[in-house]
Amino acid sequence: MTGPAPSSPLLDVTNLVVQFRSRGKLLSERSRTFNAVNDVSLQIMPGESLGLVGESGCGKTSFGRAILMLNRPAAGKIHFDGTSITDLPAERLRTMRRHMQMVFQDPYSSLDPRMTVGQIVGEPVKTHEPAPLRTIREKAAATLEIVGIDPRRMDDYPHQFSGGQRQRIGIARALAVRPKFIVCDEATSALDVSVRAQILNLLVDLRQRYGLTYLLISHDLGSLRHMSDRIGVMYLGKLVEIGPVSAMYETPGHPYTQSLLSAMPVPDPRLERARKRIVLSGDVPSPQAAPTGCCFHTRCWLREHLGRPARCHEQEPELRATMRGTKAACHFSEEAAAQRPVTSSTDGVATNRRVIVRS
Amino acid sequence: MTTASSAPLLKVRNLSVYFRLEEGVLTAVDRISFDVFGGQILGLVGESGSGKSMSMLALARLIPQDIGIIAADELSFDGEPVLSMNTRQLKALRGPGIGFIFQNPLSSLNPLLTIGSQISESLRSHMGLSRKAAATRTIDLLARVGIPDPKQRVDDYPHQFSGGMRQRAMIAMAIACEPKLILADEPTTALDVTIQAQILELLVSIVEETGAGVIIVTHDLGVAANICDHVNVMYAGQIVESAPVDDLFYRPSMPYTWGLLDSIPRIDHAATDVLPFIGGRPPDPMDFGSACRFAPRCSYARPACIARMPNLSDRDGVAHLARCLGTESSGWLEVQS
Repeated sequence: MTGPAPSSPLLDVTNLVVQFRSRGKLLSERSRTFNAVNDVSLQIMPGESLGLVGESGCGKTSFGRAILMLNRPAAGKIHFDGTSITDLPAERLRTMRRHMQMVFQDPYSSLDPRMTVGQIVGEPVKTHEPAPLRTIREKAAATLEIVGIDPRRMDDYPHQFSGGQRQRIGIARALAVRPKFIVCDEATSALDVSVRAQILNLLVDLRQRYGLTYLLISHDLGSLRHMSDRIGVMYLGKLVEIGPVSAMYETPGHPYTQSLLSAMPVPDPRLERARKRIVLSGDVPSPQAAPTGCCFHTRCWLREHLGRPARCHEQEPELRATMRGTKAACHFSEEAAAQRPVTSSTDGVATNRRVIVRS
Repeated sequence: MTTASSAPLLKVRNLSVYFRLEEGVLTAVDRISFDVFGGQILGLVGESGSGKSMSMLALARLIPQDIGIIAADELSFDGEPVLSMNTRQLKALRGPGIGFIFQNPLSSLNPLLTIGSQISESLRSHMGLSRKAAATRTIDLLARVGIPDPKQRVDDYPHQFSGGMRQRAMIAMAIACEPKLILADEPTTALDVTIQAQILELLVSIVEETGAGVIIVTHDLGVAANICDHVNVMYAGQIVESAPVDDLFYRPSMPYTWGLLDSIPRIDHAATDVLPFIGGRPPDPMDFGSACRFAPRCSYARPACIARMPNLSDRDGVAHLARCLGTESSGWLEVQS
């Protein structure tokens, strides 16, 4: 990029570290700390939608919770809207949180079953802008209407709604205080495909209407392609690649991003047969025993392909710009780009079919 | 494509599953028919509550008789009628005959027993192997499904295995007695994508090697496109479309199937503005009525669709069936793809 940035980032994270303590297996063993998020820096511009993808245990959820200060970071800086929130007193943090909300994965366990839907959606309003009960109810009703829930049902309980409707209620709760920024943590993962599409459409629509900024945490690369402007990929607590959505899907520069894309089955049998699939060997190492050098080197197919160069396990790669428009933490990202597997189709099931209605 | 032998391994004709509840009778599966051949991977796809998992449980008579009623004109495994089997015959059917792989391996593995003892137990009881022979074969099986250091890991407990390893162990258990049929219910849904790819590859290689037939229940059409030879789409307890995998994806003939395919956000296409979706909700399984069950949600429905239930009828090939008046040859919908 050249010239001054058009505006300053809404969220600016530098060198963020989130630590957890693991208890030893035996009483005699000491508890050990490990980095769930390990030195991650990224920025999100106002109105931008950043997708964060990775497998279980990669630290994406810990990252999302840390930037809302739900987990206190062990190190690093978080600036939200120009204010450093890592060292704010509790009171100021609470006022700040009004602008930063979260939507959770499970629409069943994230809504209190003993509260009515009106109370659930009114709760954050009550906390952040105390007002007469009637005003709170009116705000809750208006917000429910925005997300497509009939406000006449605001005295019903969560169990009286379907999974998709409950996720709408969860979104309404986040939206009720008109935040600037919403973290969606696997917000559509528990839903059936047809319902998922409706919730994705709702999130896109809300972003356009209210100028929202999103951090979308998901393992679903399909939903993220649909929703995001940029994508970040995490592995073992590290941000291993980040870039604009088209470059990330079409010319990824990190062998792990390529593996993820190639492992994701597409609803297109001919393409499935034609694709060169990279099947990674083994499991993700435990973050408590993270590999030296590049965190991905123990499972990296490119390292094998290149004859196991020493650099991979000796030197930790920095996130740096690739030729194809992304930033990747790989010593050999140019070689990776040359090995790109087939991930795009011309058959396009969803796009090529035409239905003609005869009279 | 795998080569299928001529006589079906599993023959299912008008299989239904009902549950008698206080409020009335709930129809979970409504007169479904299909065949499974050795070496074939058949997919059952559909959304939550469509009856796909229930049909699978009914095939092995795993629905407790005091709760559910299983009815069928024919349900035969390897020529033997399953519905008239006694307890001893059922044990033989479920042991060596059919192998099971479930979504959550942690709830299907006994946490108090080592992985090895759970596999060798079934080898000894179903195949009559000696303790020593069972122990050797267990290690071979763990090696076959790709567990590193099988000689050491055989004495581990389930909690010492990662999610992917547990699913491998469950596959080892499922194939231990060389079953002719493997029933897999969402076998990769709880796994990460890179692990899912490994498990799907393993399943395919086992089919190629042993010639077993597989029924896989999945809600993920990508998984179905990846490994199935033939796919049945289920909706509201019925099969609404049944076709060889390419026909289903390239010449789908039922608006519900179109809706399912179109509502998937793709990794291989740039985003469209608005994702198509299926509005409304599936009908009440206590009262399906006599119309096409998808008609209330179908944007192409006409009065004829409300007047009667369409049959599952032939489309462009003998193996391609769809339940839709609009796409029948006399219908009002023409599909160009």
